[in-house]
Amino acid sequence: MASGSGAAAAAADAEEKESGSRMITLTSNEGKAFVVTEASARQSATIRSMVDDGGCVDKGFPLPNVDSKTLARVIQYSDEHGNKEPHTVDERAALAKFDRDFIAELDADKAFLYDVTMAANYLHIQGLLALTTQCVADTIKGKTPEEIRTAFGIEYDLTAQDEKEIKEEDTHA
Amino acid sequence: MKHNQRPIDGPYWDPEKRPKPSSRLQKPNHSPKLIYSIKIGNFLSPRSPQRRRRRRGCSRPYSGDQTMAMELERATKKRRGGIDDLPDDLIVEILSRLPAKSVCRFKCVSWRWRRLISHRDHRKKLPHTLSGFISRYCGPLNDDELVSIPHFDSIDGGEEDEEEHRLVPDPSLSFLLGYMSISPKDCCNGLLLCLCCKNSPRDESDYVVCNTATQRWIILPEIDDYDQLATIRLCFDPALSPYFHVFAILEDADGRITGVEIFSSETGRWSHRENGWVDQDDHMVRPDAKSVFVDGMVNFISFRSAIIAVDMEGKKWKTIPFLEQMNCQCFCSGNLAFIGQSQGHLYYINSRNRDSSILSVWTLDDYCSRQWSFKYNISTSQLFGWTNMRLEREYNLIAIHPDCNMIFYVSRDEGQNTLPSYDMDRGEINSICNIRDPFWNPWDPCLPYVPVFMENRIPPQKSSSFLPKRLGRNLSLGAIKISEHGPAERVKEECKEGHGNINNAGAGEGEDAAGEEAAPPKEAAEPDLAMLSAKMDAFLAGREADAPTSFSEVTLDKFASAIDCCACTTCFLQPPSSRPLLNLSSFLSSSFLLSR
Repeated sequence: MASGSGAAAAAADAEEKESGSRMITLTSNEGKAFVVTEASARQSATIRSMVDDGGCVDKGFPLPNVDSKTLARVIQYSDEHGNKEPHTVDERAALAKFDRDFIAELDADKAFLYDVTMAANYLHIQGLLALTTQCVADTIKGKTPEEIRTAFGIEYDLTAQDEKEIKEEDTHA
Repeated sequence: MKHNQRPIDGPYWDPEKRPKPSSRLQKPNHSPKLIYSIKIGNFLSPRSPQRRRRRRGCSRPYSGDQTMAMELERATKKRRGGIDDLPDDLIVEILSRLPAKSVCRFKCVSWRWRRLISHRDHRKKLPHTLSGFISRYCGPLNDDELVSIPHFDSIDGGEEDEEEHRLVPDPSLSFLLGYMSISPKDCCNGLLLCLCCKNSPRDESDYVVCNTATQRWIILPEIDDYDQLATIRLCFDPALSPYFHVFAILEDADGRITGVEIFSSETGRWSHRENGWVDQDDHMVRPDAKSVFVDGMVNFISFRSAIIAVDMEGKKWKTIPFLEQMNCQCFCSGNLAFIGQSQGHLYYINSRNRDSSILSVWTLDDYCSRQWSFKYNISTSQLFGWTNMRLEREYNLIAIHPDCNMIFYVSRDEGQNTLPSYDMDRGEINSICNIRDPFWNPWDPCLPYVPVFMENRIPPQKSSSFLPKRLGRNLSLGAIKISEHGPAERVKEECKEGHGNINNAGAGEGEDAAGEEAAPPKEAAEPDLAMLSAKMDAFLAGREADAPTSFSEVTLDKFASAIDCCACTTCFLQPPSSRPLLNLSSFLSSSFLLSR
């Protein structure tokens, strides 16, 4: 760190050192507590803004919308991305491989994938959200609307009138 | 709920599900009344709020209470689990990662999906298909001078939305400041390449690449061999890369191609490549030659009965020879033909050598195998009702729809240039619009435009979470989007006049920063503040002396992020480091004012 940048940088530096070693407790809706490093927790924009606003770091953060199983998986992702800083090509490749394996595992259990997607959305973890939504998008990409309804158990509730309107809209598209 | 009628599987995407083309030829109708008869796009027509309110076969609009009750009923209904459990914004997030064609098809999944896809608020998030055409309009500058102004014609009959919801909010590109005349040259996936004449000095001009949807723009550095420029083309595919490329084909005095200058928005520089099309005689292209970007390569029609292609790095050079029937040599203007891209394939349409009233449509099904397959014959009597129409004389092909078998052409009809579409599967003609410019010729550019709202790929971030890793990508238009520093952006563009050493240094820093992507923003931005501030002072001095130097976007972005950091941390209160920042703020605001 360059010394010429003044007291601000030094202060920020000190704060960074201090925050790097802090631990944060996240509590799932079942009351189970997960202790994570601050770097890991900062992957979530929701928690990051609470920490930055001088929130109750010591008391921990209750997450009423996330269950233990989902939270454990989300923490697995944020630990990998938050605690490690990839500097070399190899490290970056390792992280990309982690992402691939992580999503492949989730892809096998769709219901859980949606839980993780919703948790990522709630916690604002952009990387994880991009990963999971892309995975769902890839799944539905080539399907017909009928296949989507069967695959996801969506009720068909368009009327003949709706169909006619959609046809009208898309006549030439 | 019971549904006994068969659900429709996609609105006419699948040719097999479409009604068979009627054998009866439809008479073309250029009546202006027909202008709004075609709607292409993903969205409900904004003109029918009534229609949006109607649902479930009930023809009368619901009152607010009824709607609310039905919403509640839908919300409380026990769902079977799965994708429909996701909240609306996540479904939209997922849909935004799909091609436009799929999204349009998925309107038929359920009422909820249809509502999400058609909703105006999601317009900028979801992918788009062809939405209109950009041409030029000659307007009077003063009593005896005309200037070229870009003009947008929407495919679904006019942009009647409020400005914020329009796909092209500012079709005349008035956000390109300091230019008197703007001629659109090429358009590729939401980006537009224009030749812009400066307000002063008037004999100078720049090539500018802009995104009309997001109003970001960038001035291309000068081409070294400008006098050899045969044609200039833009290539961009957000699915392949966030960077765009510009190809300038160079020719010698006899019109033979000598090489290519390629501009990459990643490096911010032109690079020269010698002509690599060696397997045939000397190739030539026309200045207004159509080009198309397929499979990462830009394709041109050569005079020598072939398509010539080159990739983004200028390393792969390819020649795709025509079949005999595909030739139509006109001794003065080469092949009378058109190339375009639709549904991922390269399309080639030529006028027949023996019978100029027939257009033949060919595709390259597999781009690598170079095998052409014949698709359609179209008679000009189908397009116009009579046969003696010649391609590039009385009419011209301007586009092929990227998602369906439909061509667009312009013709002069009773002194008015009209732009109809022709559905090649169904043999139907629909009028799209009239070209407004009375001076417009059928060979002038009329560019198909597909909006790309790139910033939606990256959700808006709080200033404190500005990620240094993005700095490295800041030379691309696609990436300029990320920072939300209004004034700084203006400055960025204002100052972008050259790509000198500062730029290189900036790019290098950007890459370094990319390594420490998890680091908090202040770490990346602050150490350079003193240095940047010194540069900024020099710049300010230069501005006063009327000799501006230039700053790269990267440098300015760092400044902007530094301001953000300071605004959100306590260091703004501390005198030593706040000085350069105050200086910078005044600079930014003054530049912003100047640029207005």
